[in-house]
Amino acid sequence: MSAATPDAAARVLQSAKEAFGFVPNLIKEMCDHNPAVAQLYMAAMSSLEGGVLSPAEREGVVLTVSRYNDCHYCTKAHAASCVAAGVSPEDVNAINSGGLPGNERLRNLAQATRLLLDKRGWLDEEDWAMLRAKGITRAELYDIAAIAGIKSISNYINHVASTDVDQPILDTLYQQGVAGEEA
Amino acid sequence: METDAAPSARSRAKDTYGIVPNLIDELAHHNPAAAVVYLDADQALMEGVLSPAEQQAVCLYLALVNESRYDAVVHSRMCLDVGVSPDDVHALLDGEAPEEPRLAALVEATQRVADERGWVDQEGVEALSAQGVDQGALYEIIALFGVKRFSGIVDHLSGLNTDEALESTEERFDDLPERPETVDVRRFFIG
Repeated sequence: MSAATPDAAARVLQSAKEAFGFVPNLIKEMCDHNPAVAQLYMAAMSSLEGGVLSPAEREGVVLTVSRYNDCHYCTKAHAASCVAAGVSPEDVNAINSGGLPGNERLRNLAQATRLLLDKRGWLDEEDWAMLRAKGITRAELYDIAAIAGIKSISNYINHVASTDVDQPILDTLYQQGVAGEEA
Repeated sequence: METDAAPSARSRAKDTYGIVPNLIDELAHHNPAAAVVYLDADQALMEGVLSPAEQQAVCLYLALVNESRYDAVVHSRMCLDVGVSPDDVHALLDGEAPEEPRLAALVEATQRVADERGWVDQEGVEALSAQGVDQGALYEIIALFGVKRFSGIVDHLSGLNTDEALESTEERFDDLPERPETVDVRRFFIG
């Protein structure tokens, strides 16, 4: 066994502070119990930025997964990130209430995300034809699969920890005019 | 067409595993960043709190939860390589608890995470802790759940072939998961 050291925790906390401007309670919670999980989450979320989805599309998928998993924390944190990336508050609230966004591209991505999670990737020919008609590519499905996996980590840890939503996130949501649906 | 990032992801995989697993090859071909996400996750968990045998037993159990034949072969082989007994590998493939008490406790915790969608309440956390699965171990199990959810979906989307190096492992076990005849749709909310 080679558990991460306190130094590793300090490095992750510092990188979170640099990335977000504050250390989110989620990252603190992960670091308190298992810094390797915090490191995994920070590294994977950073690498996802190199994927094929635009920032707004990626945040829309992250929010869709978080709502699917009913995560009270990530549905707020990523509501704020969505708006910052250019998603309208209306579309954010649509996703967070289990509905579909008005923006066609985001709507297609939200439907693809829910389909992938519902069927765990076992798509039939009809599903593939539907996705092709919506312009969803295999590369995009792999981004969605990666997001589904990585966000399940934060979503489920938040279930266990009942993580308090950070005040800076609540302040941002207020400024953005997003209701921030309860999950 | 592949991007310039594909060879780099494959090269990192080869340095880590000795081969380029078909999972990474498939991801790198279509979306190298997704391959890097998987490699990042795997690398970070090498510093986790669970031993390699414990991690692999959890991963094998999750391969069965996800009905991923590809992952079941990979993690059966890795279980054996890091000291999980052949009997316990068979038990896991058959959906039974391993004999080894520590692995049994971890598998029970993994089952709770999967069945309860992560909603292990304080009482559950304390019960697991009393069995030696503390919150750090529980979070690592959740991390493995997420990583295997990712690979399981990719396996189902692409129908990954067993890696050539693992074909003998595949032949050794006759209780590997198959694609079900009908896929049950698991939806937890309307919308």
